[in-house]
Order: sequence, then structure tokens, then C-alpha cells
Amino acid sequence: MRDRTLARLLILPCALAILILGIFPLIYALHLSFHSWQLPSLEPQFVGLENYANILQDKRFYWAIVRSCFFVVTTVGIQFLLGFTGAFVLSRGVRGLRLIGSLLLAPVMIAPVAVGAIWLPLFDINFGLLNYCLGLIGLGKVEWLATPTNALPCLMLIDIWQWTPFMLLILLAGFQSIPREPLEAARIGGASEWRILRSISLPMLTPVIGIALLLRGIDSFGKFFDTAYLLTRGGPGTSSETLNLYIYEVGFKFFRLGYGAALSFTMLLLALVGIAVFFKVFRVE
Amino acid sequence: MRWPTQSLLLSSLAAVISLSSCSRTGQPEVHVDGRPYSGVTLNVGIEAAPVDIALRNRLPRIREELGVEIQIVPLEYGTLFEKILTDFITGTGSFDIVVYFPRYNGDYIGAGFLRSLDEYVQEYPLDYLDILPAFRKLYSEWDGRIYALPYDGDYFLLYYRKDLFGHPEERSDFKQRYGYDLGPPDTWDEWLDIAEFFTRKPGETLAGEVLTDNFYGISEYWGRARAYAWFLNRFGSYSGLFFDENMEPRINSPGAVAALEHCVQSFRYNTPGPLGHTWWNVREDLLFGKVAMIFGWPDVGKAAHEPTQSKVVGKVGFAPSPGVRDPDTGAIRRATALVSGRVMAVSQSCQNPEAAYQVIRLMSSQDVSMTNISEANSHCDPFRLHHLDHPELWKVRFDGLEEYLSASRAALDVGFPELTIPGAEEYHDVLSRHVQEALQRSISPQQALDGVATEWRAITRRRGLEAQRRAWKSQLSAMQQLNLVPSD
Repeated sequence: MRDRTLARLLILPCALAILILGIFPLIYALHLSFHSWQLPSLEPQFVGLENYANILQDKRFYWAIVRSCFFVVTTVGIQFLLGFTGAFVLSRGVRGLRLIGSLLLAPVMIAPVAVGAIWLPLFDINFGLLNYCLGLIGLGKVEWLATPTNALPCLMLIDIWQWTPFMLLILLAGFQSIPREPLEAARIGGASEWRILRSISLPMLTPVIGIALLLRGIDSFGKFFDTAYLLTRGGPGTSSETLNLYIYEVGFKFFRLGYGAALSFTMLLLALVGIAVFFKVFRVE
Repeated sequence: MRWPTQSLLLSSLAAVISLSSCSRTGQPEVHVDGRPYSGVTLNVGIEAAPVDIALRNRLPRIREELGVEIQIVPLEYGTLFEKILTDFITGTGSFDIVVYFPRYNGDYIGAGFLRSLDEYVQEYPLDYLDILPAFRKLYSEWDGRIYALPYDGDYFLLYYRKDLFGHPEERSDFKQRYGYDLGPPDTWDEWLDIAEFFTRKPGETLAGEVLTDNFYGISEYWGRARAYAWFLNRFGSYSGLFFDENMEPRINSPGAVAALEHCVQSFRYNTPGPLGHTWWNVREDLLFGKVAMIFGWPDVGKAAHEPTQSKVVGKVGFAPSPGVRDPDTGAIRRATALVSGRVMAVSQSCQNPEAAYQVIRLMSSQDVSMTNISEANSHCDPFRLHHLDHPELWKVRFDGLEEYLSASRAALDVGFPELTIPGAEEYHDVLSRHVQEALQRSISPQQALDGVATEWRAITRRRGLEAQRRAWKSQLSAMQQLNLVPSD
């Protein structure tokens, strides 16, 4: 009995910290989402579900969701294909694997703002390296960030560049954790490499793939902000405005705290639905 | 060992006496070391380089004359508004002095976060009336009281390639094609003609030389952050009224639509990628000899004659903004957007407001501000008559300085303000977003500005119609006093 009390006492500080730092802001934000509060001059006013009703009529919100989903599906999809291919190749035994692993980690470790600062001059229309290279092979200048059709793909390119190595390393760890016995047995039995990959490796990798996709999906949906903010700020117009850029603008640029909170909760809800669907499809436990 | 201790005690005593007494003579009480505010340290929130360069250059003088130590807190241009406002709202008190865009006046002054300077201005006068009326009435005052003093007076000038405009072959071709003499455009229609005339492809001839690369008529800053500013330059002369007296948006009036249609027509003569342009792209386009003319901030005038920055030294001319010709009278109505610019103000949380006032008084004084605006690297621009009337005091000397100052004076006579009412940042952002959509031709200018009007109504409703109407009427009244919009 004394042991149980002591255990509870020891857990208490941690539980309180989580409550104060994690749960309380969430509850407060939920509370705020039922209010209209335009800083700095007005007091919050209770408006019930009005903010959520407004979201249903907010075309900018819908387009932001479409862009965010397109962004996540495309970037994570490409990162998976490239990462899987790279991991498969490297898992077959490559000299200097440790060095390659270290080099691959470099983009992952760069702060997003620094990533933006690296890519911004590369995309420069007059002095950027990309247009210079295109010029060398006789192609014209591309308006990388300056047209509605190019801006979002450019941001996607950066995300793919930065996070493909992360996907590769997780999948490589997955490949290396597959026991050798079933693979060798299959080879002795005359199975082709493709057959081994499809029938043995892939099923055994499913949990790892699921976790990798989940982590990147959440990250890409909710956290791809700094680089985009630095490079396009959602423009031209709103052509590269994802949901988190829109929420930042509403809540932290123009201080519409109630509506910003409602948008955030709607985003959270969408993310939870996405995760539930993902668990169902991948049967991740 | 006794002497330093005695000296320290005496200094401390003198400091206590000098800080506790308040001078009524127009001169601050002088500290024992000859500096009135020795021991005072002030935090200044200001946009990072190059904007803070003038302040950094003057730190020794502030220390020498006032005894004040300045801690500069550099802020990023894109997040300056929310960083300062968040500090004010939360009462963190990180800034004693803030240097900010005057379009934030409604949010900062209107909400009571900044101190009125009236009592200090009375006690320690400054050459206030020497500050140009637009910067004084529109950006330094709020509800008839002084809250801020200018740090940087931004306005727009037309920069054109004198060598191309004066080339006999070009002049003759232009006259043949358009029926009038080639020169700096007087009207926005002429601007279009000249932009079209000079837009050329590789292989064509320009001023007698065969081009190896594209040459463009103009370069403008249509990036999201400032697309509204380049629109306002037209809007000011085509229409000029943001709202009517009842706060009903006039941003979609026929004049405003004509202004946006002009922007759309100009767009095709731009250097590539204008929707992603920043000011640096526009500057480069002129300074690297890629365009015939630009319309931009005054700092480029100084840079154009600096061989380390410019390939067109001695080839750039200056003119005031084009305007719109009245079909009946033939008079040209001009307006120059006073976009950006920076003012200095003292926060409510400042513990030494008098010392803070003295710092901003010194920085905006005739003498110090003349150095600030005329140094090659300062990025501060004229805001006083004194700056325009005394070319001999300018640190940077270049051919055409007098022409530059004369064009500046003409531009500032018709200086047209941004919105300064509460929420101005959001009103402007909505305008930029829709202007970009019209430039992309995804919607028509009329649809774009109708969209702006709808969103502006929502912002006004959210912020409270009465409060917004009061603030707008105050700005409108100042604009009418300066003849920027007709008085009804």
C-alpha cells in the first residue's frame, strides 16, 4: 500500500507537468474556439458554434485543406518510393554504409528556416543556381516561386529533399532487422529477388513502413511551416497556402484568436480522422 | 584608495539628484559626467539590417550626448508587427522604443500601447514643423496628439534610363510609333506606352546595340508582402478613397478598378517572376541594366550612382510619379504612395520615457537625420524640408542629386498614405492577395476588388464598425487637409 502511494507521489510531478503544459492549453484552446476574440482591443465574446459554422463557409479553408492533403500525399508518397528503393539497394551490402548514413542525415538535421535560406537563393530567377544550370543546357529561366503553378511544387521539392533520407534510414533499419533465415530459405528454394521482396520482405516490413509513413504524414501535414513561410508565405495569392500557414495568419498575424483556435481544432480533428483511416488500412498496432 | 570611493559616492549622489529633479527650462538636468541620462539603458525594437544601420551608426553620439546606452533588439521585417504587438499585449516590456511601420499606428497607438509625446515636445521642442506635412499629420499624430517621430521617410520616385530616353534613334522611333516625345511618363497611360516600347527580345536593337538578352520596360514588386503598395501608386491618382465616411469600402469603385486594370496591363512588360519579386529584385533589375524604368523607393537613387552596386552609374534619371489626366481640364492628378517608412515611438512600459523621447528626438533632429538619410549605407530616406533644401549637406554626392531632391519634393507634395486604422495590416494583406489574383488573370480586376470589399466589410464588422469609422474619419480628415482626397 505504501509502495503504491509512493509510486503515485513520484508520478504526480510528471502528471501535473503534462496536465499544465499539454492538456490545459488544449482545453483552453477548445474553450477559446467558442469565442470571438480580436486582439488587442476587444474582450472575448461567447459565440457558441459560430466559428465552426464560419469554417464550413470558408473557401480559403477548403482550398488550404486540398493543398495540404495534396502536399502530404505527394511528398510522403515520393519520399517513400525513393526511400524504399534506396534502402533496398543499401540493404544488399554497400561499402561505406556508415558514411552514407551520416551524409544522408545532414538535410534532416538542418533547421527548417535554414533550409528555406538555402533554397531561396537557389530559386532566384536571375542569380539562382537552378536557372543557371538550365541556361547551360539552353533552357529558359523558370519562375520557380513566382507563379501559382510552380510555388507549391517547389515547396514539395524541398520537403522531399529534406525528408527522403529520414524515410530511407527508417526503412533501411527495417530491412536490416528482417531475419536472414526465411530469405535464405527462399533463395535456396529458387525464388526470384522480386518474389522474395514481394512475399517476404514487404509483409515483414509493413509495421515499419506504417510507422515511417505515419510519422512523415503527421510531420508534413502539421509542421511544414517555417520553410514555406520564408519562401512564399502562401503566395502568389493563396496558391501555396497550406492549412498551417492559414492558421498562423489568422491566429498569430491578425490575432483572431477564437477563429484561429476553431481552425486548429478542425485541423486536429482532420488529422485524427486521417490517422484512424491509416491505422485501419495498415492495421498498425 | 579613498579618492575613487569618494568620487563614486559623489557621482551616485549627483545621479540621484539629477534623475529625481525635473527640468522646466527646455534643457534636461545635466548629470555630473555632463550627460543627462547617464546610467539609463533602453531597449529598441527595430527591423534588422539594413534598417537598423542608421541607429547603429548613431550609438556613439547618443551615448556621448545623452549618456543613454541602447540595446538593439533586431526584428525580422515579415514578423515585426506581430512580435511587437505580442510584446505589448502580454505586457512583457521588452521594448522601451519601437521603430515600426506607421500603418501599425491604429493597432499600437489606437490600443494605447504607446505614449503621447506632447508633454515632452512642449518641454524639449524639436523642429516639428520642418517635418513634411504628410509624415507629420498622417504618420506621427493620432487624434491630434504626437505619438511618434519619423526615422525613415519612404516614398516613391520614378527612375528611368536617361541614356536610353535621350538616344536619338529611340526618340525618333518612339515619336513615330506613339505620336509624342519620349520622356519620363507624365501619366500612367504614357507609362504603358514606354514600357511596351522598351520591352525587347534578343536580336533586337536597343540604343544602337544588338541585344543578347531580353530587355524589359519595367520591373515592379508584385510579391505578396507589398503588392498592395504598387497598386496604391495607381489607386491614389485614379481614385484615392479607401472607404466612404460610413466605412463602406470604395476600394471597388470604378476608379480603383481602372487602377488595377492598369496594373494588369503593365504586368506583361515586367521582368520575369514579378509575383515572387521583392524590392531587391526590382532594385537589381534597374541597377543591372535590365529595364528602362522602375517606380520605387528612394534608396535606389543613392545606389544607382554607386559603382560597387550599379552598372548604370550616371545613366539614371529621376522624376515624380505619373498621374491621371483629367479629360476635361487636362490637369494631371498625381499621387505617390507613402508606403513603409518607419517611425519611432515610446512604449507605455518604458521606465524612462523622457530619456526615450530624447533619443528619438535626437535621431529625428535636423542634424542627425540629415546624416542618417544621406549616408550611402543607411537605407533611411528624407522626411524633412531640411533634407530636401540642403543638397550641400548630403554625405553621398552624385550627379543629379538636385534633380533627385526636386523629384522627391514633387513626389512628397502628393504623398498618399497607407491605411493607418486598426487592422491596417490585415486590410492591406487582403488587398495584396486579391491584386495578385487579378495579375495572374485568374479573376478580373472588378472581381478581385469586389472580393477585397467583401473581406474588408468583414474585418470592419469584426473589429467594431463604430471604432473603425472613428479611426477612418480621423485619417480621412488628415488626408483632406492635405488635399489628398476631395473635401466634400
